[in-house]
Amino acid sequence: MERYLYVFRGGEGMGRTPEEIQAHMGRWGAWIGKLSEQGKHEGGEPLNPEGRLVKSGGTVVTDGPFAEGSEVVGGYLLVKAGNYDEAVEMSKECPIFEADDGTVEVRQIAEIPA
Amino acid sequence: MIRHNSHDITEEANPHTMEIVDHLFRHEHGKMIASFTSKYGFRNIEIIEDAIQDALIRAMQVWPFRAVPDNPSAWIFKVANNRLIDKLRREQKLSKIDTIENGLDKVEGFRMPDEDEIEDDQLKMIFTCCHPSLPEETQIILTLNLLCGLGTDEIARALMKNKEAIAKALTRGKRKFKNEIGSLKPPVDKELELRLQVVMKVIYLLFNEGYKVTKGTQLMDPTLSSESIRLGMR
Repeated sequence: MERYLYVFRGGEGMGRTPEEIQAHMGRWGAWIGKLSEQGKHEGGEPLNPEGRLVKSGGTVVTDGPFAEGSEVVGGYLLVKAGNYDEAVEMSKECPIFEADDGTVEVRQIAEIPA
Repeated sequence: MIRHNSHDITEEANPHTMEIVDHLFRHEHGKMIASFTSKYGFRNIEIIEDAIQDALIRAMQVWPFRAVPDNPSAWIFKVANNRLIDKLRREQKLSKIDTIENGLDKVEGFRMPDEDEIEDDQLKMIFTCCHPSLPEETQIILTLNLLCGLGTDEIARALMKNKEAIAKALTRGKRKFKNEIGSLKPPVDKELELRLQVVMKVIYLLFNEGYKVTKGTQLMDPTLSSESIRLGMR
């Protein structure tokens, strides 16, 4: 088993009723819960929307790194999978895809050999 | 096997049980609308709606990654209250006096209202939505939206009207609140009696509509009907 990082972008700003918001949240919980039950969930956190960007040799600090809503990283998840294909397949059920601009970036963790 | 608090051991082991009461968000939405319009004034209805929306979306983004908080209502209320104060300050609708004297400071001043206070506020809300100067259908639409937490589409389906008509009625009704009705003051004496008749009629209509409502394969009637029973019993 190898570890992969899911980076979530987009999927924000869909005008919703309280019922729809709760239903959508339930689907996220179900998806993460299923990964948990399968022993594939290693960790993950949501991110606050505000942020800072430090650049130019560490001399410049600006508010937030992003321009477009679809580029905003909303959170991450660490999962276990046999290979990239499996990690990708697992990600397809993520509820972020209910929005047109939702994306999941799948990256393999570089493990240091023993 | 030893059990405690009727929780199964395996349920506790999974940190991602998203056990949330059905329609929790819809009910919390209604309670917060009532509570915040009572506290901050009906003229701020739109800002209040935005703040509540923000809080529910925040819950949606955060709770799946961790457990649902022990007291979901208090969590949502507090986040919504903080967002609301930020927005009101930004629009300079809060003076320094408001902030300190009325305990509207985010950290020190927030106190989760108790059930009785929320019920009182909800009652005030029904009376306000059933204002005699509004057409009866608008009264129903406002009640469904503000008190019962139904969106434009859901109301359109419930009343079998088109979405635009519902949206228009909501805009007009809320504009009236912003400009004319001001802070919530319950009617008294003769006016109360007349208003009560209207309220009971709206609740009766809500109950009736409950039977006609479907949302795809999911029947909404139980919710609407039980909403109206709940309101009527107060």
